[in-house]
Amino acid sequence: MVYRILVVDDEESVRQVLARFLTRKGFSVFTAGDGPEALDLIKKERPHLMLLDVRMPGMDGMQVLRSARELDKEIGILVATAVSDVDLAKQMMSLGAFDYILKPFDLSYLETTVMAKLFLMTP
Amino acid sequence: MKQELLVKSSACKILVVDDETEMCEVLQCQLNSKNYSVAAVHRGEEALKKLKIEKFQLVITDLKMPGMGGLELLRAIKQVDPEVEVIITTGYGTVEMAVSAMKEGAYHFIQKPFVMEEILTLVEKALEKKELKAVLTVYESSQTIFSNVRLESLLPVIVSTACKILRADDASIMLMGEDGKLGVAAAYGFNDDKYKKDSLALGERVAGRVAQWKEPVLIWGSLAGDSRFSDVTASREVKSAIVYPLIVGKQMMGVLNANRTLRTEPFTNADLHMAGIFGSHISQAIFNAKLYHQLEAKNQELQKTYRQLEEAQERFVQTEKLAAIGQMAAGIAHELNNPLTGILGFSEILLEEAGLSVQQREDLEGILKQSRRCRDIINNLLHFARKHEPHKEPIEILSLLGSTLQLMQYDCSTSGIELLRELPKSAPRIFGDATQLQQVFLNILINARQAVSEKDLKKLLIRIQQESEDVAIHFEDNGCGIPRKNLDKIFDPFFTTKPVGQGTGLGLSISYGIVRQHGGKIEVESQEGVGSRFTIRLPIYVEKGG
Ligand SMILES: Nc1ncnc2c1ncn2[C@@H]1O[C@H](COP(=O)(O)OP(=O)(O)OP(=O)(O)O)[C@@H](O)[C@H]1O
Ligand SMILES: [Mg+2]
Repeated sequence: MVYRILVVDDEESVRQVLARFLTRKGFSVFTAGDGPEALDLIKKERPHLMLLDVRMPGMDGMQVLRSARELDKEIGILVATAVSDVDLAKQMMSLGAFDYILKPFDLSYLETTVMAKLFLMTP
Repeated sequence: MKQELLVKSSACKILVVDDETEMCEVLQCQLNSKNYSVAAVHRGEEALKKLKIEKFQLVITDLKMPGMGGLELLRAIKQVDPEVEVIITTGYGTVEMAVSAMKEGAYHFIQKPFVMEEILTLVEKALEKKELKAVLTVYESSQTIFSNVRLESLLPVIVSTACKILRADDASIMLMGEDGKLGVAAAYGFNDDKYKKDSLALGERVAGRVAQWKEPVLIWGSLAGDSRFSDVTASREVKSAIVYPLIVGKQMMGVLNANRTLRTEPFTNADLHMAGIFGSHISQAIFNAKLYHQLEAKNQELQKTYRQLEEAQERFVQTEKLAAIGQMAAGIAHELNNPLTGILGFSEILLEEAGLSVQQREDLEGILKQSRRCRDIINNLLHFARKHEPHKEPIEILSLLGSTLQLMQYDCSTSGIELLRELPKSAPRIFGDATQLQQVFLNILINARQAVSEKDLKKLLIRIQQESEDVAIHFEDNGCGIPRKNLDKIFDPFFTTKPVGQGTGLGLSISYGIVRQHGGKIEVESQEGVGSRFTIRLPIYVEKGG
């Protein structure tokens, strides 16, 4: 089966690189540039995982996370941000993110994190 | 002043010396009528004997007498008591005689027969001159007194001068302490130190009463014979005493005691008068000295406050600088991290591509490596900017420093650096965030390691010293040193002399912020080419309630 991953980031270069990389790794990738777009895609495509940025215009990552959780209890949420803030990280985790990684990260590291999560999620 | 001197003429004693009884009687009668007390003798030897046991202010002597003559007597008198004025009379004076009499110190030389008026005026003038001379000494001594602005040096001068001016055998000055008691502040002429412990309340003993009454007293003979003090037991035998209150405005400052214990003749009203003039001068001088002292203390306080202000301002500027830079850095770092994610990611993706030439692969790895370096620099910046609240706790500075040095140990031995420690067996604890402080130590140690790298003999010395309120940690290296012009810049963010890629210039400014945050200080001493010493002072931890 092909896992579906949603990439949410307002920065196009980030979306591009993540999409290219994850597609190569055999995932089915959707990208969203803001919160509403992301929530639409969650409803339509039912992704297994979501890579979520925090600082975005309009809805920020925290709000997206809350709404996404309401739409889908199962979806795995990985926060990927340049904001290194201990409190923010704690808050996102308690709201249901499974990890919080700091940009810029090595793609290989991202791959390991994603794979580990999917492995755990598989029934 | 003349008026006052005349009033006191009864206190002036005149000795008449003449072998002619008639002459003696005439003078005695005339001078008595002017209220002087007069004694008369017929021979020079007799006069001298009398002068040795009794105080006279003036001697009127004949020149030609059987036995000791007038000139001879004059010389002898000046030896016994140089203050006595002498008038010489003669029936057959020559110019030469007059001149030699004056040279020997006679006040005047007059020829008989003389008009009585003439001699009375002369006596009056002689006594007035004497009085003026005494007052003059007071004024002269005042100059020395007023030139002493410090109490410690002023008081000894006052008591010794008091003895001289009042012809006292001993004198002391008692000052009113903050406890409202009189204490001996200086003394002169005493041969034991017992008096120093004297501490009198207002109204206690003679000095205490004088301070209370604010009136001077003159005491003749024993205290028992004085109705004002008959209840006071004398602590020693005093023949005569003057106790003078020292007052400026309404402020009671103390008393001046002057005693005659050896000299037989008692103090006179003239002496009391003199004590008055002297007393008002020294009161003012003591008042001035006290003011000066207060002024000095205030001045020192002011200087201290000024220095503190200066330091605070310096700290403020440095802290502001750090904060501004920090905010900017955080903003920039965030902006940079997103594009960096792209650069890093795309190079990684490309590297996985099949069919890359060796050169292409190397170039890509270069891009990857450099972008990771960018990431490290940005992380440093973010770390610096982050307002992370320190977790403070009591810390054993010795073990914290020990574990930090252990981190450096391996590195030092492979780069040929001799790591020396001068650490005490125990050191007081400090209060702080161990991680942050370790970062400070590491920053300084790494700088030192970099500084010694070009030297043949590389040395690093770490010392801990306990000071009164701080623990001082010294880091000394024999490295390249810091040029004078850089000394006040090294704590600035981004100041670095290291080649691009080796230093961001943040180490010391981060350390500065941390140490300040701990209520400590960080200082540097350095000589170019010789080495540097960084000293961190952290306040000793004082357990609350203990
Ligand atoms: N022990 C030392 N001997 C000589 N120069 C020193 C020493 N410590 C610091 N300096 C000077 O102070 C400058 C600033 O030091 P600081 O630690 O702040 O930055 P850096 O070492 O250049 O970079 P970073 O610590 O960020 O890697 C250094 O570049 C160097 O010129
Ligand atoms: Mg450094």
